Amino acid sequence: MIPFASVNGVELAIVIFLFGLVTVLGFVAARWRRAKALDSLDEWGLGGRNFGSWITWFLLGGDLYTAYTFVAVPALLFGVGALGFFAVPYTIIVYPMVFLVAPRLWSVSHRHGYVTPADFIRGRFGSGSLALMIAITGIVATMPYIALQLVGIEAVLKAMGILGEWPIIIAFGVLAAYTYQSGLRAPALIAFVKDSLIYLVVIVAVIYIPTQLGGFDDIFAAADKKFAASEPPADGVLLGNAAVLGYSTLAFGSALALFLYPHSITGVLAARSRDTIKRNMAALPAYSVMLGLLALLGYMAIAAGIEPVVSDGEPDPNTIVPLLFDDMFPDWFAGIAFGAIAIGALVPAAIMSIAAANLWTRNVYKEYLNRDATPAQEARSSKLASLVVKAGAVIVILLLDPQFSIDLQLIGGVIIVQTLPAIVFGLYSRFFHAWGLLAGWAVGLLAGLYMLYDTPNATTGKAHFGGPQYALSNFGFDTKITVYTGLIALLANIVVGVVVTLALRAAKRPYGTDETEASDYVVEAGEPGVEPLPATPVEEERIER
Amino acid sequence: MTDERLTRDPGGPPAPRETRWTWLLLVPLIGTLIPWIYNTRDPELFGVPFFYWYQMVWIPVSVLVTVTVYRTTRRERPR
Repeated sequence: MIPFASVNGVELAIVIFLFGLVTVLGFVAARWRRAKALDSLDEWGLGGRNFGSWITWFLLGGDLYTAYTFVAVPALLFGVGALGFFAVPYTIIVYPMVFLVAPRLWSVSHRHGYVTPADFIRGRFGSGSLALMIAITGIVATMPYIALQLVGIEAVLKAMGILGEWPIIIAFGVLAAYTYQSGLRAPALIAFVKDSLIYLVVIVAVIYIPTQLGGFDDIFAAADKKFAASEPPADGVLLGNAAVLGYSTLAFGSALALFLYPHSITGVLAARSRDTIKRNMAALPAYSVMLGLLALLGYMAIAAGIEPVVSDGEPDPNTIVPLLFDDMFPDWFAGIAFGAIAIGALVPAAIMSIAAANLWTRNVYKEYLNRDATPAQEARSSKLASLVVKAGAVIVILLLDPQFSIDLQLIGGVIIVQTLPAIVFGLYSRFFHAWGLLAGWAVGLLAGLYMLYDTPNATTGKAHFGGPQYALSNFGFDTKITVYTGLIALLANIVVGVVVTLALRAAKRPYGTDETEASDYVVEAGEPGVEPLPATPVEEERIER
Repeated sequence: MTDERLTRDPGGPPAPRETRWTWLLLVPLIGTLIPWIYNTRDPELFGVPFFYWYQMVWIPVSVLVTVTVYRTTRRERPR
């Protein structure tokens, strides 16, 4: 393998230019909507808690629709067909659900100064151990997600013919530097560039590429032909009968998980008001349109006869979208598309590392190592932790098989949804006892891990961690139907949580102190107890009113 | 800015009118989470099977639903 053997100069130059542009933005962001000082978590970790509707829309869009999504979803359609389209119902139903829940979390977090979901758990249930478990779950689920962003960049580099490891190290080194300096303001500012480029690329792609391939009739016909010829009968342009329930439970379970991820909650808490969040839940589906169109690129790649790049002896399906762009677009536009995907990896990676760092600082460092930490010490701890998190992600990708990160991310989705009873039910009710929630969490976690381990993958021949679908035949049902693993584990979690809570109530075990009150969950910005932070600028966005 | 709304029991359940509209949020879930109703090829639209364009249609529908609930349950803003 000789790096640069077949690298296209125009594509490379444009990618480097775009990367340079966002690097400058990342450092300039420290001065954007400037606070007096960045040395508190409200400023570094939540961007001043003052983002309006537009910024929040770009930030959350850039946060939730990651580079990995852009390469993996079409790759899934390319590989198995209809099942990969679950990303569309998933990102449709998530917003109505979050519309109800997120404003409550926003209100209670602002009144009490919570920075992380585990802060809320600590205040609501008065249990340090439950908060610690929620924090650790969040960190563990987030780490592989960051590593996967590197997989997204790698796919682009491979398609460009660059096979070294150093570009990824440089990219993440630069990312780490400006995240350290600017905090959440850096990804918020870069998200404008990222999302504008992605929208441009997707719109051009879905208009231009089908015309080159003879229209959607021919595209779907080519997909049909491929799936009819392939060995496992589970794939196809429509869902097989056994996969229908798996499809809807995967969409539902993934939607439940999405806003439990620490990086989503960071985006929500950085918003200026409840109203900002609610408006965004109505506006964010615009990204789902783009995702749905992007997904169809998987079929277009089939029709265009794209073969994934083979590296280390294995075909990498994640390379099909970059290869399709390379094949279809002139060099300069392919360069823009590659740049868009690569930048698309940086925004979520930055937010995820900030979210994980905040969990570390608030729920481990301040809770157990330095109880009297000043805001400045908290900010310093988070900044350093964000560096450690990113270094960890790079090391994982370089030293371990990328497949390992994909397995870990699979596990991450299943375990993050186990925090739902504590966080979501906790926002509405004090029925659950902290120990009940802990017991449910432990059972859900173990059940989820066991089921994932127990899932083989017939297509790839893997014996374990073969996918997020668990066959109901494992429970003795005579059927081929599969269900999303995370949802089964969540069910076990809730049942155990309820049973243990009832038992503790019967035994009259006292509850922890709840420092919140009913009105905390509905207060809006500007109302008593939710004044803006003193150090923030009073820039009004016209869109707000 | 007044405290009037706070004294009006903001922690209590919202007015019945608000609750009724909130149920609308279930509509996108019902529309998209029952694949049996859309797991078919026909009718095609511009060569795209029903399975795909049906789900895409739910994106604007879900936006309409969310906007409706947002407008109907919005509290009067101060100022």
